[in-house]
Amino acid sequence: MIDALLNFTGHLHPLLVHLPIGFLLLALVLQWLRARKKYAGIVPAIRIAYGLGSLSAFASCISGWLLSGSGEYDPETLSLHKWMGISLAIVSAAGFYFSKKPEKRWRIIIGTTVFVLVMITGHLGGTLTHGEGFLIKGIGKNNSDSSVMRKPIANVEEAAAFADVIQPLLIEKCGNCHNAKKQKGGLRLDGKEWVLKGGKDGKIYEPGKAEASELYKRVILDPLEEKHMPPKGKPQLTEKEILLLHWWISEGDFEKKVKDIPQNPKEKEILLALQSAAAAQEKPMLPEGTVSKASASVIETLQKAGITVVPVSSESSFLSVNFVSIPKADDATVALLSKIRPQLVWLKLGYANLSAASWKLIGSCDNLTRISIEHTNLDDQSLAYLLSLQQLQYLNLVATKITEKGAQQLEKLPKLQQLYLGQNNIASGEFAAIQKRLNKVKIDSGNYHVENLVTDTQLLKPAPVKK
Amino acid sequence: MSSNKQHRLFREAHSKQLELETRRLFLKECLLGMGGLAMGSILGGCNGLFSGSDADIFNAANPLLPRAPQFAAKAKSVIYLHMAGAPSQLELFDYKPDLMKLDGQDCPQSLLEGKKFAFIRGVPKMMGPQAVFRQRGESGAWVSDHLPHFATVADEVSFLKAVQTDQFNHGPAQLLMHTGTPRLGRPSIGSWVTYGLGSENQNLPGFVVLTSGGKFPDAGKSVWGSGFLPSVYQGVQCRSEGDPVLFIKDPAGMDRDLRKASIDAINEVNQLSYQEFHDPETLSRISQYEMAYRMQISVPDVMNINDEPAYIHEMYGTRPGKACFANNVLLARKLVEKGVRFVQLFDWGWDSHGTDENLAIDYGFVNKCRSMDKPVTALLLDLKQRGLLDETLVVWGGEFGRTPMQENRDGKKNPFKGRDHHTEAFTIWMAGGGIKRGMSYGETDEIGYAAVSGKTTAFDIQATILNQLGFDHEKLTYQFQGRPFRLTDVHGKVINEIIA
Ligand code: HEC
Repeated sequence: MIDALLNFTGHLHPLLVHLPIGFLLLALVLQWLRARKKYAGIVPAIRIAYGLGSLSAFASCISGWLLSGSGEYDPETLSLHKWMGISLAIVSAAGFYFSKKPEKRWRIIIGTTVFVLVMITGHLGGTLTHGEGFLIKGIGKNNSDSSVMRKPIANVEEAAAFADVIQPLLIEKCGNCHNAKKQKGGLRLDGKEWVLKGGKDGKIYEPGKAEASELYKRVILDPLEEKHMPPKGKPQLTEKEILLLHWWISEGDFEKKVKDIPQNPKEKEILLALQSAAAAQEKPMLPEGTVSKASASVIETLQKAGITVVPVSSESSFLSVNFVSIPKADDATVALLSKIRPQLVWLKLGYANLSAASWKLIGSCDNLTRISIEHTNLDDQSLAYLLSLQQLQYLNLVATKITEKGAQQLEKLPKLQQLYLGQNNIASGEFAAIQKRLNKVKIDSGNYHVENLVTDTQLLKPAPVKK
Repeated sequence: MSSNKQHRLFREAHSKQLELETRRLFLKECLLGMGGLAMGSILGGCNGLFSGSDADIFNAANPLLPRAPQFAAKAKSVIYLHMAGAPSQLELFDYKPDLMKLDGQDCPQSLLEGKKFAFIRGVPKMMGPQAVFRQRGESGAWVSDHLPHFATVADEVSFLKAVQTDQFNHGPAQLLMHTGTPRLGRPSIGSWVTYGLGSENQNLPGFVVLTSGGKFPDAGKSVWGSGFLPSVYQGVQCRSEGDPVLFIKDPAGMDRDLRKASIDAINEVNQLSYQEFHDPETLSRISQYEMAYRMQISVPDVMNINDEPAYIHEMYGTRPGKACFANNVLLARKLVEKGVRFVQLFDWGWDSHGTDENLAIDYGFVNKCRSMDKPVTALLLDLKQRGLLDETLVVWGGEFGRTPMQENRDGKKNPFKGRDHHTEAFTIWMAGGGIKRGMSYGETDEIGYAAVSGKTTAFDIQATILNQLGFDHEKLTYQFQGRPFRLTDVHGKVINEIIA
């Protein structure tokens, strides 16, 4: 009985705390008005406001202390909140005392302290219930992204079932309430050891038995039930995520890889979708690592010269450059590329007649992964300048002046995957040798034809009907 | 009767009349409305405090400036080949031998109950495939003999064999395919893409439309309209015959300098108007004038297919000087090569009802196939040999499919063999631009009537196209009428199964 009463008082805390906030702020406003002649008689009101503020602050302290016993809160923040609250109660009592005294200095000091304490205590209280950074949540551009971005999975079969598939899911959908700072139900879900440990009612995970695991049972409960997880109104697990959770508990453990756990077709499909969704977001043909952003003025200079310069994605500092707006690019414009050497990753520079210096410059842009220099005067000699490009994956040399010998040199490019060699000085018989040398590269020799068929231009007509 | 009373009545009538006419009263009555308007422009407005995320993507002064996609993309441009009228999947890609067994029999009631067709009435007869099918390439994709050339490149594409729509009339179905709604007024996918990415080539529009087949798509220019997006993003219709863009030549007696001077003058006036009213459409107008001026030189150049070598002409089967699909396909390649983002081709004439010879599945349809087969095959190979297929997404398809039943317009036998509009399953293919090769996704039942697995919709295709271009279709939005709009509305799922 007493327990229940205490518990009840504790739960009143979130309600009670608003009283001192209101009373004390009112006291401060009244105190500020006191200086004016018109409000000379206001002193008793200030006293009442301070008095009620102080009393309710003490009441809040007591109820707060009762609530803190539940142990669901981050202890550090909690302790700070507690002491701030107690200080506030004491300082506002002092305010009550001094409001009658004539010393103006004390009134100002106390007033300021009360204000600061109200703010800090209130904010800490908010942090305790709503989580860190609750104030700024939803401000700024990416508010739709407030959920944790899941790490893309490159190859789902090779991924770790728990660490790569299940853990990110738990963090995204349960992490807000079951984490290091906040343990609703005494439970953390942000690590293997915590999942094993369970919550205040004991174990939540029964290996091999999804239906017996609290971790799964809670999720499939009727959403209207109080014990359903995540609680009503919070982002729910999707049908597929629930299937994944079931799959992992029934067949997996913490160490197994995805491929070592049997999958029915449906599960396979869901798992595969994780991968291709991730693959779709994978950066296509980008070098490893990052670079600093090119300065806006540099980019502007290039744009003024007619060069199309765009980051490969809105988040990236890597640049894609295209000379397509310039009818005939010359050495002078190409020289501008020297200003974005580290950032330049994709280059399109077709139909140009360039000197050795330009080819050399291009060869010195170390991060280039894609180059299209079709219909240029590039020959075997100038091609040599490009052989130092360690990141190069795609090279389009259609209609240049490369010979078989030149093409052979390309074996020096360690990452080359795609090579376009159509319309060069290479006889069709020579491609086999090149392919043999560059055995990992997909070589396109071009020169495709579409056969001419009589039917292409013939119109099919029904036989004329004789009258 | 006192004259006094009458006098009052007159006065009342008079003042009522004045209420309708006086400015003072009008303003008084409008006060709330005016306040509301003012409030609206303070809060929302064109570039107001609370206007949405599009404010930072739409650059009114230079709306076509190239922009980065949301994530690094595999495709840079799209060629969308729309076979307007809706080609029959049952004669091209969706091989149904079991349908042959039912040929000529009455359609079972179960397929007709509760269904509505555009023209079929009563009980139609089933009609077996009117083409010979073979498996092609390494992928073993079924392609009929109507497409002997395409059959050789079947390994390059991913087929979607269970596309569904809910519109059985051409106009609405085309709108749904291209604008994400069967009704008029939404921006087309090409407009969304140019809005998102700008134009790679500053001398060419980002979105070009080419039509052939002697008729516009039923939905009219709305299928390449910009809807509520700024009008710079609408498709620019070019022609392969005569002037490539209408009204782009300098008028007789006006030289280019004078043209420039007049455009400058107009733009100055527009600039003043912008300073006064801050309507972003004014800026769009300015940049359109400037673009048009640059296009005068660059467009005739890129639209001229005569400078292509003979073997290319032969490959595509072009007919120089004529307006035809093959010429348009070659143009599409040229445009993409020059950095145009989205090239939309509409080829009319695929509506094979069997009502006349041209719309007969065994005559007109076969001829349409012949005119399409070679250029499309050439396009894939030509893009490939130029190293452009990796970064160019090619989409081929109609607005819906055709029924496994033979059409019996209004319950009577049609003069030729034909099929009615069908919404429940049809085939679309995609190639290049980071799409898997030799893939087939989705299946229909034994007679090709209904989709049974791997169902996809126009929204899924749109989501996939945007995904390949580097956009999350849920995040490419535009603030309009107080809420963010997107191409796929509340639908759409990227078809991961066909993404390489
Ligand atoms: C909005 C906060 C919130 C979220 C999000 C949330 N929970 Fe909870 N969870 C609670 C609260 C509060 C309790 C304690 C009350 C109860 O037992 O129902 C709890 C208790 C639990 C318990 C019981 C622990 C025990 O031993 O009593 C489990 C298991 C659980 N949650 C699992 C989950 C899972 C799994 C997710 C994510 C899918 C999740 N929760 C998401 C608030 C949350």
